[in-house]
Amino acid sequence: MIEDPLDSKKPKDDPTNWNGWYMGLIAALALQIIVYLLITNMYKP
Amino acid sequence: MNWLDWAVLFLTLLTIVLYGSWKTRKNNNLEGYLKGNNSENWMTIGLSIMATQASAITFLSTPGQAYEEGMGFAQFYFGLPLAMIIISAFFLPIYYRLKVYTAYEYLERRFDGRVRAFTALLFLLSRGLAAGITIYAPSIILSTLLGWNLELTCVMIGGFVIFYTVSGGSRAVSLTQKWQMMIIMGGMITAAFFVVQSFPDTFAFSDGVNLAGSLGKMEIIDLSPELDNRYTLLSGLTGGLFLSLSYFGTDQSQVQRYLGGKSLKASRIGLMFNGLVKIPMQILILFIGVMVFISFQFNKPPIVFNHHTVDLTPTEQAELDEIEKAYDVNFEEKRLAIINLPEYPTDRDYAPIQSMQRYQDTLRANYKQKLASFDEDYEDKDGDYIFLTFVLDHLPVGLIGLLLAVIFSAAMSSTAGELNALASTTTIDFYKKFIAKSDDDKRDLNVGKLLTVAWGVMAIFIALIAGLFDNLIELVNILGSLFYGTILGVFLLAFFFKWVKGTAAFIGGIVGQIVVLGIHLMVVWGKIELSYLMYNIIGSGVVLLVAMFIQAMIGSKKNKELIDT
Repeated sequence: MIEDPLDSKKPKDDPTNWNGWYMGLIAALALQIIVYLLITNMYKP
Repeated sequence: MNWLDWAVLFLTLLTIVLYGSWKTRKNNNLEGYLKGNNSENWMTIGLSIMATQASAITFLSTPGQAYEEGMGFAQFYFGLPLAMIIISAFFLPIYYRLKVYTAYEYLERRFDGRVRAFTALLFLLSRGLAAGITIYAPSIILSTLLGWNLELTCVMIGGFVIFYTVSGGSRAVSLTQKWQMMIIMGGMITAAFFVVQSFPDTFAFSDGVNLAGSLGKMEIIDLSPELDNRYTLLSGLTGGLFLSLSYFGTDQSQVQRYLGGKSLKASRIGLMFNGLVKIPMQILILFIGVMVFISFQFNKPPIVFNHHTVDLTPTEQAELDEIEKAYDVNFEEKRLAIINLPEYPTDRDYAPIQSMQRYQDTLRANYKQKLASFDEDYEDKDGDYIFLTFVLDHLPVGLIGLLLAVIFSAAMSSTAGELNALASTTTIDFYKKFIAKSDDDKRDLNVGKLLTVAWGVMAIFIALIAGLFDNLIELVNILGSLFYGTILGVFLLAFFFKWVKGTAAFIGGIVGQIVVLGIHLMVVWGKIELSYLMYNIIGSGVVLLVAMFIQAMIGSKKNKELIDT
């Protein structure tokens, strides 16, 4: 039986704050969408 | 083509291929061949993931798409960063912990052999055909515009790929993809610079962006909620998320790329890198297409970018000439109107240019319609030819060779990823599972290599016969989106619904596949309108619901049996 991924423990040798990475990537996506929205509105015919 | 372009093209391709083969020449076991002995750093993984996804047609048709419809296509990729997060957080740790070679291997451990064989078969079917088209699609464009022999171009691309994929395996694929991706990005950035340089001296870059905006080419985001519109923010974030999740999380050609990482951390950062860089890269390619459109406001583009295949009668030719004459007059008037725009143009200044552009588009559409009626083999979608036409007519000698190297590199990198994955899946999920269960590393390695050659030859064969079937490319593209939803549904069950077992997952998969095929037929027959991006959501949704229902039924039946006994 496979262990549920949600229960999986973070490897001990990896102290990386992955949630920080994920939040950063979501923030980068949100920022890009805002910038592209501004460009769309700025250059609307 | 100038000798310098030939030299740049062949030197670039040969250097990368020989480098990849030489660096990986000591590969002597199956794990090294299929997973590269887990030695890749995050940069190689990230670039390799991007190179596998970006085929030659990406660099040929994306600028053409922006030229015709603007930059809205970028929204297709908005779900990708979210998919990277989900794969990194939930899929990747399990693949790593179980040390699997293929994504489908995991499904047997989680469910049973039937589910593994079912999903692996769907993958082989769609990806096996797609590998042929990855070679054929750029070859037909190159042969049309450059007069090259189509068959020879297909064999050359396929032959190069087979050579280094067989000799160096997964590691050679990743290493060559890293350098191919660098050539691709360097070539595209250089092309962007020269496209802007082709504007008249009095017309600045900012004037070009303003003009593109006034002609509707700078609309990146579409906030409309309609699901039948292919590219909107909503469809990108939902349908794009599901498509990316299935492609990157369950398609072996991608899974194999990040399973070769030297650690879980390296693979995760590689995925994050892809999530961060992919959208800006697509925006850049689309923007190059928009700038090509602006350049063609001053340098008259051909009325159609591809050629007809039959000789026309004098009457037919006269009809076309009449349209072309009106096209030439309109182009010249528009060009003068743009050159004479005031320093700070207003909407009123742009209005006549917009009207002339609409007239140009109408003339182009009429011309194509007439050509299609004269020549039944004429392909009236010529968007894929626009960028290469610009490259050949307007870029300096040497750079043309580099841009052709970009297209070849893209074709080779995605084909290599596909062959490598097809061979792995056939070796691990079928040969080692059903034929040779005992371990014999040398024999298995040889079988892996032999299967790579076999899939490579098959891809070249499909590329060679692709021209015989009118709608093969479309069919292959549809095949991909038809199967992805089902495969993703099965994987989502495996990862997130622990109580669902093999029989329920297998039946759910089959029902999900039948429902998606049924919906696709309704779309083809015009009964409903639906973006193909939605197939992934519907397919995986049906698999999840049916499997959970069946599992609940099995569970209650078992409970009843227990009570009865």
